[in-house]
Amino acid sequence: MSAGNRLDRVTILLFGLLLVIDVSALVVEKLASTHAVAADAPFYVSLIKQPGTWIGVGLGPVQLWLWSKIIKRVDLSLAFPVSSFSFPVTVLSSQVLLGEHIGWKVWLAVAIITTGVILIGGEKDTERVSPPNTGV
Amino acid sequence: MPQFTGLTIVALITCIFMETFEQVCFKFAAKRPEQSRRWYAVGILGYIFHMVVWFWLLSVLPLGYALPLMGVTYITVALASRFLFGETISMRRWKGVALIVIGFALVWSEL
Repeated sequence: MSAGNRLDRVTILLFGLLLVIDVSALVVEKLASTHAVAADAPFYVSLIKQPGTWIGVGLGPVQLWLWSKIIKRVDLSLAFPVSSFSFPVTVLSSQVLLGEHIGWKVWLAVAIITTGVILIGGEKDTERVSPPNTGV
Repeated sequence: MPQFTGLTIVALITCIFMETFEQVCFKFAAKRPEQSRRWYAVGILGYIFHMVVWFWLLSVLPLGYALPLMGVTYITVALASRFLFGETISMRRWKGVALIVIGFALVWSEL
């Protein structure tokens, strides 16, 4: 049975929440890795002591739960393209929050990849069992 | 410029492969309810290994580069879906694949 393609307020809220959690998880994972490299200990020993590691890993099931709620409300053919916006938002966050230098070629690539993901995902018979691009 | 060595390439390929592997395991779990526990368990083990390598990859690559490169998983999952589950890849999806390849090459050229 088709879930439908109507974006009501609750669905938009769920999408927004998933986007924020997707991006937050990736940012804290990056921070945890950066701190682990800088620490005076073997990488993985330091990594497991970083709160960001556990926050990032712990957000995985939350993302999965939110994704399952979303795809119960709307078709994957709508959910998939909307969720692809986490690509540009994450790259923007890495520039603004983490101070990474993102060249124009990478920005162009992000736009092209996001369009590609929309084309791949935005069909009625799309099946993907966990949220796209959580990655991670 | 990001640090990009042979080990980085191995880690990137491993992450792409493991994410695809997880998707395949979860799909098998959904298709074969009688074996679903086993497939979920294997998928979760894959996820743990994936995360171990992903954290290392993030230590050598900026997030703004690593994430677009991981976009290739949309292609590998589509290909796995075709060869393992007999799903079709329409012309529209092939266009999406082509765009992701172009985007990947653009990011790669910046490394």
